Order: sequence, then C-alpha cells, then structure tokens
Amino acid sequence: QPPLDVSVPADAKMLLAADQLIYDHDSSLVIATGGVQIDYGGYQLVAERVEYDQRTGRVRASGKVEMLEPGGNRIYADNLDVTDDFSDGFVNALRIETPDNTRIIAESAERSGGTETTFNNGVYTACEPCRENPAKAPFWQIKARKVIQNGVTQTVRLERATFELFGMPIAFLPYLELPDHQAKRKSGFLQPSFSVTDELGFGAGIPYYYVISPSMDVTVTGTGYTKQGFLAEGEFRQRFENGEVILRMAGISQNNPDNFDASAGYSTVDGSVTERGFIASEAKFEINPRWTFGWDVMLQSDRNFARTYGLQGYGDVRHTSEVYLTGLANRSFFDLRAYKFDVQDDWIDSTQDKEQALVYPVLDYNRISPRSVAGGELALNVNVQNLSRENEDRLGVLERYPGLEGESARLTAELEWKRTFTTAQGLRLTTLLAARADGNYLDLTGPSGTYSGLESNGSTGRGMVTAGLEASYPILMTTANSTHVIEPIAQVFVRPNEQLSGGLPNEDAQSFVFDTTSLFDRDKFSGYDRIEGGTRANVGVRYTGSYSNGMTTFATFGQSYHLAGLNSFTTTDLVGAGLDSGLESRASDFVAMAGVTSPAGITLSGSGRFDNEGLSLKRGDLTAGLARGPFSGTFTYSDVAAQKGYGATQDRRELKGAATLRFTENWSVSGAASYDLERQKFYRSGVGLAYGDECVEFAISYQRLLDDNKPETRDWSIAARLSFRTLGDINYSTVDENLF
Amino acid sequence: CQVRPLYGEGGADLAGIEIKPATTRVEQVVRNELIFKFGGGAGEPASPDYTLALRVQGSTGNVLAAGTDNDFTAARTTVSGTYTLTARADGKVIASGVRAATALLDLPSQNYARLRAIRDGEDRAARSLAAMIEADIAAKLSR
Amino acid sequence: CGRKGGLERPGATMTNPPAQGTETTPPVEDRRFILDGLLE
Repeated sequence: QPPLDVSVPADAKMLLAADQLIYDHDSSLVIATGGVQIDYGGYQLVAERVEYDQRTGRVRASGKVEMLEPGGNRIYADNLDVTDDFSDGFVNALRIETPDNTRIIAESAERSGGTETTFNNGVYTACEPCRENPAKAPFWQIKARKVIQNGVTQTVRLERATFELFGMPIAFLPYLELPDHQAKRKSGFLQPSFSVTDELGFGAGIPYYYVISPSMDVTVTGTGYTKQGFLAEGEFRQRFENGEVILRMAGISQNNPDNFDASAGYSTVDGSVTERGFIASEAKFEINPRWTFGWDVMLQSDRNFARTYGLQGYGDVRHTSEVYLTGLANRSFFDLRAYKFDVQDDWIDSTQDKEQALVYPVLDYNRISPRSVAGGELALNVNVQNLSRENEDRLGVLERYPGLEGESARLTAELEWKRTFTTAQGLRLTTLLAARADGNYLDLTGPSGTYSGLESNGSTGRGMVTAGLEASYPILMTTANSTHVIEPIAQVFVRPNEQLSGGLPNEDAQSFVFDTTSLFDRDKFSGYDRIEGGTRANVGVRYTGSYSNGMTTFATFGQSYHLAGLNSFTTTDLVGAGLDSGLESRASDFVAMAGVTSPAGITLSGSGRFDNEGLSLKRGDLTAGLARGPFSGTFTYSDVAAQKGYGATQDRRELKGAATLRFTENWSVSGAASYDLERQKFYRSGVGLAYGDECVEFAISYQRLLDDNKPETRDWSIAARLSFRTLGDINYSTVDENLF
Repeated sequence: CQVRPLYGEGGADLAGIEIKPATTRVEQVVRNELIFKFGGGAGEPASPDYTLALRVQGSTGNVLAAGTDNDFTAARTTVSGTYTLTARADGKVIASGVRAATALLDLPSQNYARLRAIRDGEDRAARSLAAMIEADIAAKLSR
Repeated sequence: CGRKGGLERPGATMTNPPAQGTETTPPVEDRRFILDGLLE
C-alpha cells in the first residue's frame, strides 16, 4: 500500500482570506490578522493571526487555531508552527478529532515527515466531552506519556499509558497500539472472551489476528479452561476474484473427561473421549452473475465436540453440512445440492445422528418458458431426490416413521399449462392442465412395527394428470379515502386417484398444515413424495384494503370440498401427512386469515382453522406487533389442537412475547418469554439491560431455558458484553447460547 | 362509495407492467406469480408502460418448541414484499407499499424434511403475497 | 489490539478507496457457464 501522501502537491494554490493583510517587504513576511482562512492543497486552516515567512517557508498561526487535514482529522490548537506544505512542525495545547469521532488532547505535538504526529502527555478517548461541563472526565480515557499517530501504518500508539474509568486510573499499560480510522484490517490481539460452565470450568480465551495480505488472513485463538485444559482454534480466510474460502480447525486434549458424566448424570460422548477435534470449511464462488457454487461442511472427531465447546457458528444441536450449485435468472431456477445433517447430542447411546438422512443429491429445476404456449404459461418442474439413512427414525411406539433405514430415490418431472381469460364484465376464468410422472427406486428395510403397505424393494413409479378451472370475480370498492378489492374465487380440479399412496416413503412432504395459503393450491401437499388426487373444489374469498392514511387491511376465508375419487388426506402414509388436517372430511374445516397494519406502528395478523361442524378452533396463530417511539414489541399466541394421526398427541397452546424499551437516550431494557399455557410454566424467559453511547456499549442478559429432556441440568445463563469503541470489547457468558 | 368490477371493460389493464429481475428464489416465485397474474399467460410485455420494483424478504420462525412427546415444532414462514410501481414515461410513482403473508407449517424431527417444509412454506406465502400486491396495483391503476 | 475486517478482492485496484464501511461489490464478470441454457 503506497504511503499516504500527506504533503501538498507542488502546483497547489494557497487561497488566503483575512480581515487585514500586511506584507512586510524587507523580512518577506506576510501577516494576516482577523478571521484568517487558508485553503491549501486540501488543508483548511482558520486562526486569528497567521504569519507566513516566504523565505523559510514556515507558517505560524495563533489564536483559536483550527485545521482540517485531507485525511479528515480536525485539529484545534492555541498556536501552530508548520512548514508551508504542512508536513512538519510543532503544535501547542491542541485537540484532534478524527473522522471516526475519537479525540486526542495533548499539551504539544510534533509533526514529522507529513505522516507521523507525536503528542506529548496526550489523552486518547472515543467519548465526546460532556456538554454541560467539558472538564468532567469522560466515561473512559487513556492518558499516555506519548501518543504517536502514524498515517503509513495507520496506527495510534500509546506509550506508558494509563486506562482511566470516570477519571480513576484502572490499568497501567506499557504500550498499546490501536488501528486508526483508515485501517480496515490490522494484525493484533482481538477481544478476549470469558465463560464458565459446570463441565468446562472457568474459560478465558484470547484470539490473535494476523493479516497476510488484503485478501488473506489468519485468526488463531487459544482458550484455557480450568477443568478441561487448553483449546486451540485456527481460522484461515482467503478471498478470490469471484469468491471467498474459510477453513477452520480446532482441537483439545481433555484433562477431566469424566466431569461430563458426573454433571449430566448419564454416560456421555464427551466423557468417553480425551483427544477431540474438528475441521470445517465454508466457501462461496460466483461463477457468473447467474450461477453460485459453494459449500459449508464440518467434520468432527465425536458427535458433540463443537456444541460442548460452543465453537462459533457450529454450536447448535442441529448442524447442516451442504455442497451446492445454484442458478437463478429470468423466470428459471436451478439448485443441485447434497446434505449431511449432524445432531449434536451428548447421550452416548443416542442414535439421533444416525437417524438423519444423507442426501446425495436433491435437484430442483423450475423453468417457465419465456414465450407463451397456446396463449398460456408453460412451466416445467423437475425434482430428483436420492438419500439414505443408517437407522430407522420412529415416533415412539406410534406407527409413524419419519425415516426408514436404507436407500430410496425418486425422479419427478411435471408440466403445467395455465391461461386466464377475462370477460368484458370482469370475470376471470383460468384453465389449467398438468401432467406429472415419477420414477422411484427403493432399497429399504421395512418398518419395525406393524405398518404394512410399503412397496417392495426395486423400482416402481406413478403419475398424475389434472384438469383445472378457476373462476374469480374481483370487485373494486372505492370510497373517499380508501379502496377495497373483494375477490370471490371458486376452483375445481379433476384428477384420478393418487397411486401407491402410503406405499412410498415420505421424506420431503412430512409437514402438512391446511391454511389459506394452501387453500387454492393445485396440490396441497408440501413436497413431491405425496400427490393430491381425486376431484376437489376450493371456494373462498380474498379481500385487500388500503386507506389514504397508510393503513392496510387484508383477509382470506374459504373451504374445500372433496367431490369424487380417493381423498388423499384420508389415506395414511409413513408419517400420516394430511391426517387430522381438516381436509379428511367431505367438506373441509374452514380456514381464515386476516390482518391490519397501521402507520402508527401497530400490526396485527391472525390465521386459523375452524372445525367444519362446531367451528371450534383447531389451529390458531395470532401475532401482534407494536413499534412506537422508544417501545417495540411482538406478541404471538399459538394454539394447535392434537392431531393423533399426524403424530402430535397433545394440544399445545403457547404465548410468546419479546419487547424492548429505550427508556433514556442511552439505556434500554428488553425482555422475552414464552409461556406454555397447557403446562402452565415458562418454557423460556429472559431479561436484558443495555447501555450504549458514542464510546461505550454495555449489555447484560439473564436467560432461563426449561429443557424437558434434561430437567436437572442448570437451566439459567448470564451473558455480558462490555465494549470500548475502537479499543475492543470483553465478552463474558456462562453458556454460549443465543438468547431467543 | 363506488362499486364496479376490477377488470374487464373500463377496468384495470395490467398487461403493460414489467418487473425488475429477481435476486433470490423467493423473490422470483413472487415475480413469476405476478407475471402470470398481469399477463394471464402472455408472458412478459415487449413494450411495457410501467416498471414494478420488488424487494421480497422471507423468514421462518419457530412458534411452539417440540415437547417431549410431540416431535413437531409448529412454525410459521412470513414473506414480506416492498413494491414500487413507476410509469416508464415520466418515472412518476403510481403505487407503492408493503405487504406480508404468513404460511403455517410444522418442522418434523428429520432435518431434510424441515428444509423442504420451509421451502414449501416460502412458496405458499409468496403466492399469497403476490395476490395481495396484484390487488393493490390493480386498484391503483383503475382509479 | 488488532481489527478484523472483511477481505478485499485481489487486484481490486484502489482507484477510489470505497467509502468507510460500504464496499461497493463490483459486478461479477459475465462469463458463459455450461448450464446457462437451462435458465434462458
């Protein structure tokens, strides 16, 4: 990087304005007095009196001197004596404000070579002086015998420094080097972090960051734990012309593995090993503006290492490793991806990890042809899914199998053509034709229970054809200050029955919730492993409204009718998708959605399914949001009635809320809780306090998390963070878990 | 208060709207849905009169954590869209606003099934969002 | 202490250093890719 060229270019003209200008001929001295303003090669100087000696080329300014440097520093001084290209000289009783709002106050300063300024008895702080009485010591400051600001190395170096909090000396540091406002990256120690947990003991970690080049760097972190010893972590990052790669490694040799069994109360994976490690990599490359290729993969010596030591980004119970190639342009999308799923569970006999599928690959190719075909839109959807699994995943003793042991593959291709005709009276008729063909290959171990009906191993296939007609008649109502659109809609889909329903594994269509967003879908299943068959009609009405004061409203309401053939939502499959969903009866449950947002920061929206006979709420979801002035909060009420066939054997009702109140300009308090209404207890609750101003950020939060499977483990945690802007921050947490 | 059909004779004509290219999958689902609703199958207009700028954001949140015996975590996917319709001739803003739609879903114990459930939730919410944006724009254009 | 920041593209000429904090992502070079035909 070329040194910052501070001195003034030779041809720069000096603009000088003043009340009075005296030219002393024999001493060739130009004296300007009264409101002197000089603009010279990007430097701007203001003073009451300026003497410019043309022979020696010195500029002497005095009286409320203020100088703005091209780099952005603003200097206030009593008097200043510099060369005419401002690169060398002395300044007395001065204060510097850098563009990133930090301050250096010193008795005197010496400037040399245009790039280095040395301050004597300086005070460095990022805090602004207190408006009422500037003399009061700021929140924090560093007093140093010498402060050296260097434009080339882009550093501020403090020698024999004392860190002061509210003016009271806290720590003495032989020397401290900080990156200045221009430095984007600078080698050196980063923020330390502290933690305490039962199994690991007290932990203190300090990362060291080393810049290899503007596009390559390394971060090495050493963390000592009182009970388990030394954890070493390394991260290497490199950026290329069209992408970036990150490589991470970590390892530890545990001193007391049996701590884990003791505190968990059962034998754990963590307790059964001593040498533990992990290697991970992340990358993303833009092949061209339409195509992206990348990966996010992790490999660890045992199945709970990253979670136990809270490795950044890899500490969650569920971790997904994937490799992908994605293309997106015009109206088409392509995504080829492979997945490996990790479940980080400490119980030694847990097989959850082996029950997850290994997917190699899943391909999604959705294309809509740019030109219309027979006046309509032709869409092609292709999905390939090939996966295998070591252990069967069964829901307790129910005949529900989210995953079978063995390998299964499916290739699906689907064509859909649709076209809308609008009559003169505003009636819209949409005709639709769709055809789909599936090829399946099964090499599975049968369900361990009594579930029968699974196709035998080998290849098989099925298909579906659909003819559909939709009629909708949107009506516009306008009043003085609002417009409303009400759109009654009726659809009918004529199809043969779903073949082999329940005979094939269901991997990508396990979730099934009937609501207004799936009411008008041609196929209500959430994936390709199930196909909706039979003749069905969907009827409903959509409403949107908007008001001149900015308020908006919306609502949808409807019902679905099974007219003929096999109702796919009554046939069971390995996961019971569709059972107890409200669609199993001839006339379905009612589904509704409604919401209002007002410019005053209030949003309210709800979605619900009501029993077709008694109108009792089968599934409800209500969200309220309020953002006004210092207060912002969201509240959610959810109510899901039991769906035995689908694997949810109990009613579940929960209230969840999160709110933040900024009660002064700098202080804010936040709280969040989720309360289980069925079991009358808080599932998760927490409160946080935060202070922030231009030079200090402090946050402390307490969280309590009830974990049903491990009621006896400690369920509260405290996290605190104190950060001094431009110096760095100190993190302390008892367990590294995100709060909500 | 005035009541009349939104489309048909003297109603809104949406065939001349072009939509800016999509940057994410969910944004493309909304864009494809709107192109069909505007053109009825005719595809993108060759010489459009209006330009629609669309910014779509999808997010999935847990609602009920899975209890001991229920392996399903009830969840919801919300897709929100900010739109601005400008006339190509003079760049005047005809309509702009924010709309959001929410799809309910369940997250089973299989991680792969979770990802596919979220993908389907995004698609469903995106289609409902497109319906709301179409109605807003049609109402403004037929004023 | 040090400061960890985002990396720069190699050979990104510093004609005008990007404004503080905002890194304008220069457009990716438009090269043909074998599967481009699928997205036309």
